[in-house]
Amino acid sequence: MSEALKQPGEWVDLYADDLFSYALKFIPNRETAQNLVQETFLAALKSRESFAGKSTPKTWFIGILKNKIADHLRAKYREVPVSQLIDDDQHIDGFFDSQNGHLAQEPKAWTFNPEVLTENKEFWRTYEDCLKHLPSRTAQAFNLKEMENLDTQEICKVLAMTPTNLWVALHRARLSLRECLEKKWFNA
Amino acid sequence: MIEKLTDHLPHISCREATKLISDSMERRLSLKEVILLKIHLGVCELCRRFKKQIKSLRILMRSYSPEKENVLPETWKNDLRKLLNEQP
Repeated sequence: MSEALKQPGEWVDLYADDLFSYALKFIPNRETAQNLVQETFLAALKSRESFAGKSTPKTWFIGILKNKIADHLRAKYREVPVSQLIDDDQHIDGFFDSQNGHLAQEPKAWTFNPEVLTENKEFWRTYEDCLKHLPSRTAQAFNLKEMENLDTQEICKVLAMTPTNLWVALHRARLSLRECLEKKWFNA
Repeated sequence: MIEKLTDHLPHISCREATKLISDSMERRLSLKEVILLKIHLGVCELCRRFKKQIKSLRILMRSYSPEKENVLPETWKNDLRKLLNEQP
């Protein structure tokens, strides 16, 4: 066994906060996130013989946590009708004029100062409201991509999507958020 | 009869163009896609604005850092430490 994993009692101090931060990106509920961290450590305890030392212990723990998060989200999404999870062409249709094919709500020029706007709590409340119009997995994919800056591979693994699904979902999110924010904020 | 040069170029719809704009933020577009998109953006002001807007969204989102208290409670850590030490 790798020297680094010999003292399970020390894992908590070394890795727990990092794992918790990572889990919170995907799971807003703190209690659920804590439980997943605990499950990760218990699973690690059982399988630590298999840690080959090819990666750092932290990377290894994160790998286990990712699987736990993915299992949790899959179980959660199973309760939601498939139509609300996956974005298809039909969902995109509504954003375009069926006659001329242009964007149905013409984009206006936005004027704002990013540094000022990002500090504006009212704007982020509006953003959260707009996000509610999206299916939960689409909203989550958008936040992971744009806020947390995770890469495609990572998001796809945890949300159990293909890259093509993800790109359609991100596109749908952008069409929707753009329209909503324009109406409720930039052009209000 | 004067025809616009753009009438002879292959063209894509706004629907396809916006998807390519979105995709260009996620993956490298093929040469064909780049050309088709460039031609479209050359003539479509709305899609140019769309592009600007979703780039603005990204800038805003990446600069936003909601205050999160990401540290686990000490009591919880103590319990977990005990639990891990007690496992065979």
